[in-house]
Amino acid sequence: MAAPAEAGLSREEGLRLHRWMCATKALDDRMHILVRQGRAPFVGSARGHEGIQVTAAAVLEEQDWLVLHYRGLGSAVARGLTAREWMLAVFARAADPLSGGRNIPGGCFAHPRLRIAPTCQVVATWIPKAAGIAYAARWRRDGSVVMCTFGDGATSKGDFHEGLNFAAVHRLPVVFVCENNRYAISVPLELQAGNPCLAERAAGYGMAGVVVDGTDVPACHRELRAAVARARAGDGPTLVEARIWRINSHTSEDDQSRYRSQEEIEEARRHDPVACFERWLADRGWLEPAEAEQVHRELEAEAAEAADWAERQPEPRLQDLEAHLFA
Amino acid sequence: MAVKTLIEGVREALDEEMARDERVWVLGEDVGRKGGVFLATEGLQEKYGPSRVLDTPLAESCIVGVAIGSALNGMIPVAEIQFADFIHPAFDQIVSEAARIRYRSNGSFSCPIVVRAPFGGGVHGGLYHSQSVEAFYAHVPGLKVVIPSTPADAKGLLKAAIRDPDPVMFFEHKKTYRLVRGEVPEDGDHLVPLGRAAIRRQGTSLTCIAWGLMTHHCLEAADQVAAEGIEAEVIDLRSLRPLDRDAILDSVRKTARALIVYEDNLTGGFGAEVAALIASDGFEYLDAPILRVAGPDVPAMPFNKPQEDAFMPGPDKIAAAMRKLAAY
Repeated sequence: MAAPAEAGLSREEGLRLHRWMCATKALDDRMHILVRQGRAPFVGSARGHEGIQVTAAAVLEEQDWLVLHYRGLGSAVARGLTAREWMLAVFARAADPLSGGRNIPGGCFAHPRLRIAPTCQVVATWIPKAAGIAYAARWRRDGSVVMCTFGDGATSKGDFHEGLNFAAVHRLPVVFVCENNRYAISVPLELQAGNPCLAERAAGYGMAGVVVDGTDVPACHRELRAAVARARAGDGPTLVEARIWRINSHTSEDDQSRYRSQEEIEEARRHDPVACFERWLADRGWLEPAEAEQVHRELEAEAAEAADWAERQPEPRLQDLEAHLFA
Repeated sequence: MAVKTLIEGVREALDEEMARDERVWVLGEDVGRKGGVFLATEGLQEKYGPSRVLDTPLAESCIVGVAIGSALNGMIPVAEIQFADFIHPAFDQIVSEAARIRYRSNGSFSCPIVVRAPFGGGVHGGLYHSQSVEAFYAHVPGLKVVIPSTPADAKGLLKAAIRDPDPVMFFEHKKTYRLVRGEVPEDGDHLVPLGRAAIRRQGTSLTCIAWGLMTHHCLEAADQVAAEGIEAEVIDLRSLRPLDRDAILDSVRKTARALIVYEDNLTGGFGAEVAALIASDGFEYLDAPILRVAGPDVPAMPFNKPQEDAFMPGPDKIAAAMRKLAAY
């Protein structure tokens, strides 16, 4: 049976997206608990970004690449990163598949099996790199597409311009997703950009530009699927600006009440993409609130178990400090 | 073997490696239709096509960033930065990305790229076409830093750099491009291993350590002082990283005197690291202080000819330092 035309999202797809969003939220919430307990040192929260993030991975095929920013947990989860793998990174354990405990969790999502490229924490350096991956993909004619994500802060950097420009010149198979939560730590969008519509920059490069409500999962899915199709068909890159609300502070080291009003923080919570999507699913009779609650409880338990398990795993050996510097 | 210029050595290396392995590609400003501002890539686009010899936008961070991405996805890029003076916008890509990809991913990814850049002065290039930048990169774990001084080495080192599984910074002194000629092996597998120095002149009076154009200035200086009975041994490092520590220390053990010559600014130049190595690991061999001849601590080489000459560590200055050292 065909999926509902207005959404292009089947019940099965919708429930899968919802589950990944809940898994991301559960890991995020668990990390905050671990930090408060003094068991983990740090959390960079993806709360508020879950919808656009899981969708960005969900629209890809196996051979496609993901080039993620450090807040991109939802995309990694939807791509196949397990709770245990993530918690190994949180506890910086030897078996951490992302960096062997070398980088802060999310600071480097390197995962060859999942085709998640290694990323750096200097904002936007990965944008020209994503264009380079796409250049090689086109040269190899392997039909793959590159999905590259970043925040609104990245759009101020020269690498944003250089990467998008190169991708546009060569009409490369890449989709650039700006997760615009309106803040670069504490600096609001109006102090970052003269034109608040970031997607309009696409026209300057000669590529497609799209604005989407990043809390509207079906809309994200529709736009990203179209952008991937354009890329795969040889019609070049797209800049997708997904407008979202940052629910938590920048990281556990930050206190957003110093620069955001209480009203605004409360407003952000009303734009939680998980809750928005649950209402959408409930409206269609695809997921009752009690069922959604069950999914949350299940994934919260999985996150807690993964954390307890990862904490017991061995630390990297000191003699491996110099390992993997060169081949 | 045919006698060729250093830049012909570079071009032959690129040509042979592109012919050998279709994953090898070249990107940079003006490298395609024009064949590079120094003609290092002349004829390559006609032979290998515009997608493997790509004229990029004028954007150094993009050039290296795209190179890194293509390497992650199976290509072997040789990125050209038109002048080393313009490499600074790509510093972030080279240091934060390329140098750390293997380490950061705990060995699950690698970054086999080569970044070529003409450096150095003495060509009326002024402040922004004369700089030496090797020390910035030799400081960075995860990078290899290579500087040829002969046409045969330019070819053999560049081929080895392209085949190396890790990022290599390949700096070519632009004054040597056509000034330095020499026999170049035709052999398609002529490789000069990275990390091994060459002794260009044997001597017992003192050890002179240099790279790039300075190797030739040291050899000229050694000829000058030879008439006075001072026999300088001249070591061409060829690779700053990995550094051939044994070649340096073996020579100093023999001569008991060390002079390090580099064109970069004196303070914090790579010669300071060589001096530290000799001081810590070769102290007992020494009969004299370690001396350095280097560029002065001014931003770069002036365009004005007398000032340019005054900046350059030339054979006369080096010969004077050799005499001073030999007199201890």
